[in-house]
Amino acid sequence: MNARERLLTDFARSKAYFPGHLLPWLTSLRESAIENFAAQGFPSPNDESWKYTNTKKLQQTEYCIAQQAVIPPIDSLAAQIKAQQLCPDEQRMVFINGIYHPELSSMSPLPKGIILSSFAQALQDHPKLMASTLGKIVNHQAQPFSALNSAFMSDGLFLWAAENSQMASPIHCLFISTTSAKPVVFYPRLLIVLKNNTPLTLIEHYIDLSATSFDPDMTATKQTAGNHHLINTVTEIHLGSEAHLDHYKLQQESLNSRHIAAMYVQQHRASQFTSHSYSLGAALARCDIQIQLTGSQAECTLNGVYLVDGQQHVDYHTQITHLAPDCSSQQLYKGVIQGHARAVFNGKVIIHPEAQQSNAQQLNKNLLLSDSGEVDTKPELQIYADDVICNHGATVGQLDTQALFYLQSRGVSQSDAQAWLVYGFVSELLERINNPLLRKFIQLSVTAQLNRLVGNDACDFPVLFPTQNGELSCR
Amino acid sequence: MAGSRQNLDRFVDSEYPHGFVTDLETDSLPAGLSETVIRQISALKHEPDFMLQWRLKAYRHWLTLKVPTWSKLHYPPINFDNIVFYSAPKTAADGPKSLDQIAPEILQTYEKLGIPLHERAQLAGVAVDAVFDSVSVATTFKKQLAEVGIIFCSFSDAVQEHPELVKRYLGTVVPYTDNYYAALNAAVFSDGSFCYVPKGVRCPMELSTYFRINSINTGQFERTLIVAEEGAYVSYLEGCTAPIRDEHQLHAAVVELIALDDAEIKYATVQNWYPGDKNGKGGIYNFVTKRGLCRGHHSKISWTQVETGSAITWKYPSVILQGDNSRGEFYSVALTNHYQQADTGTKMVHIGKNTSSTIISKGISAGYGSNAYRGLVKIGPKAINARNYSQCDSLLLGENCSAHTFPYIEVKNATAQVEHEASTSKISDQQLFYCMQRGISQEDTVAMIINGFCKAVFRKLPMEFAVEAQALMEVSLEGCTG
Repeated sequence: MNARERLLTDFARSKAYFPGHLLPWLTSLRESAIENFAAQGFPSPNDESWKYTNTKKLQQTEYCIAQQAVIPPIDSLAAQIKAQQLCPDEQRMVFINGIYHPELSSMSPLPKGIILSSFAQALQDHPKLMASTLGKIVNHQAQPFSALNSAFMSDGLFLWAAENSQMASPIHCLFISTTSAKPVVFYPRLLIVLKNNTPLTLIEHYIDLSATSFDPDMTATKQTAGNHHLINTVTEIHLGSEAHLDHYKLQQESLNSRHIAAMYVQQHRASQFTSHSYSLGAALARCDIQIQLTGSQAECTLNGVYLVDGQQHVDYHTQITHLAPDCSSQQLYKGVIQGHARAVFNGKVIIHPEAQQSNAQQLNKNLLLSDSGEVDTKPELQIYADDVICNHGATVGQLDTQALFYLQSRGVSQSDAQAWLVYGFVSELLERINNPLLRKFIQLSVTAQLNRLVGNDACDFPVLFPTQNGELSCR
Repeated sequence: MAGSRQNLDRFVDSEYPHGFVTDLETDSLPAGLSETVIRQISALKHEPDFMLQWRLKAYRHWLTLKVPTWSKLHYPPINFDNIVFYSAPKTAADGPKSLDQIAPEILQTYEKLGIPLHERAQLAGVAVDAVFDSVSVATTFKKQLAEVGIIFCSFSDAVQEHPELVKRYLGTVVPYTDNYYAALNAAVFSDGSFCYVPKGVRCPMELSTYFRINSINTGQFERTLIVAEEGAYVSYLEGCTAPIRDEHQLHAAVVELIALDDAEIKYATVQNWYPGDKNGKGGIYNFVTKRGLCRGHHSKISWTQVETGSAITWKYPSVILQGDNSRGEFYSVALTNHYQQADTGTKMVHIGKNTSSTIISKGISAGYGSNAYRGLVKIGPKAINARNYSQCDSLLLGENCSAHTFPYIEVKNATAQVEHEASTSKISDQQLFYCMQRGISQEDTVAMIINGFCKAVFRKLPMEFAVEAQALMEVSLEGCTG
């Protein structure tokens, strides 16, 4: 039985147990999604958008769906969860192996007009609201894994902000994977609807508390023996007129796990969407970001950093579709590649004939530090309107030898000099994080990973140490 | 902007100036493709057995292939049963000994095109191997070239006179298994040019070939092979014009370049085939495989192309940088208007150490034209210190045209420096205003900006072609420049 058939059997067996299985609209959504997947199957390297990312090993692994897996005792996790706090005033929702755990979460009373609940709970409490929005923005055809998510989604987030509602505190969704006997797969689903004129900050945070050690020589046999899981997550975002969402994603999965994520955003007039994506962990991390600018003057900014080593494989596929005039989009993705790691970037900007006066910028820069690493980048423009300003660029290079020499000639050790320069390369993106506490937290994660990349892991932060105000200083 | 709109319309509506048909009796095989047809082609050309076997292998492989669909091109499926795969002018049977023996119609055709063959040959010092419907009808300066040891002749002659060279190099850069149209070409190619520059020889003149498509429904399948031995240098020019036809015509050429140690090959193309009328009817389908192999150390291959014609252009002149310190260049201007479609670009495959490549691509879209740059820069794991710079700019004239960019970059070596940048824009109102307020007419402004846009590429053309390319742009921009 191949992976596709296994999944179809799983679906048939477990569909009566999915949350909301009594809702006819949801059942038909799941059925049509699984049919869509059955027709497409898993992507092959012959599919243009999977040319550089092979899912063969993923297909060979027999994942069982999270409900069938044993959920370990969670009391011991409380302290570790506390350590992941980003901001004191955050609304923290904790998910263990994809399932919401209110006892571990920390929620304060919500302002008027905001609904914030787990996905499964929302199916009970707000079925009508969900029926009108769920599955409306996701594109099953573009991504077979998204179709799988729609078929199997069991828990996640539902966030609804009514017109003119205000919420200052950020929402922190902490997805924790724990040790399990068998490889498990889970399908978190996040549905975010911001009505007109609502600003909000959301953090998607993926961590693994079972695997903290770094294994640069990870082999296939170790992979099947060790703890590993597959996360297939889908985020659907609807932004009404003048809504403003700051979206952060910090992915720190274990180096044995696989992380397949897709985010679909629909933006209306003068809405603003900013994405900050940090991909540090996982053996395979694939992120699809698809944005539709459907209203005029909508703006979107995508920032991304990927730092990979060992056998890691990271793949970003972005697609921004300009459908209305006067919209602007900006993308900046930077990556550092060490060891046998491989980074793939495909950024697509499509400007439709109606989208005159569009402004689109796209830049992908890569620092390739190892001869056994690989970078495959393809920034793409498809333009059907004439009154536009579109630029894109891509670079692959290494550290400036003159800069290295300059630092070393002034007594800085080679590994420190490397760490400084690599940090300088990605710091441009860290500086774009507005919230200082959040910036500090991400800075710590990024510097830890960077120190590992340049082989400077003798102590925690030998070179770069963020101070209280978020600035960096040398210890 | 009303003025510029009119200018654009006039530009878009300007007629193809090279449209006429020469009445010539041709010696054609029946339409359609089969092993029999391939055997007939081979027999008609008195080819040695290895050629026939190679053609048959290619044909059998072609049967297993599917039409590629990945490009950004839209056209109805081609019916290969309606295509005549071989036609030779009757006059070629005896073989012309000099220009006097060439059918006067052909000479007139060249004159109408503004290519006075003999004049150009004598005055400009250009040796012209003119290909007229698949068979070489005139070869000039052959003797002068032979004196320094250069072989420059039609492909058919090369097969007869230098079979060992053909056997050694044919298909080594573009094997018949390469792609759908390369396999088709290998099976049925009728003629083309062959050039061999021996060790240490610097070709004393620019070599030039003119291709024309003349018989109704005759696909032209040209094959060009250029070999530059150690330390040799050759600059090759190729120019194309074709008469107006209603039916789409297929052209699937293959060009192979091989540069050994310290050799340099420059290959320039001006392509101005019939692009179809302003409703998108007619026009040439141009599916070309061009590839150069920098086999030796310090070798260099440079492609320059000006693509203004054809209803469909599908063409990726590439360089495989195998030798250490070798260098590849690609300079391109592609112009599409009416319903023309171009999907063009290059591949730079870095294999050797210290290899470098430069890509400069300029796309201009007007009317309903669609222009795509598709390129690949690949740095292999052993290509230490590889360097690439790519720049792809697109200019949009009119609101119905489109421009696309698909650059693939694959890097497997940490010492590589790869940069790609691209921009897409129209001529801005500010630019127009700036020039006009200084007393320059709108037409001149547009022409000036477009000339400036293409300058980086035109500069790379040899003198003879730079003139023709500029004339070609002027014709294409008629109405814009007043």
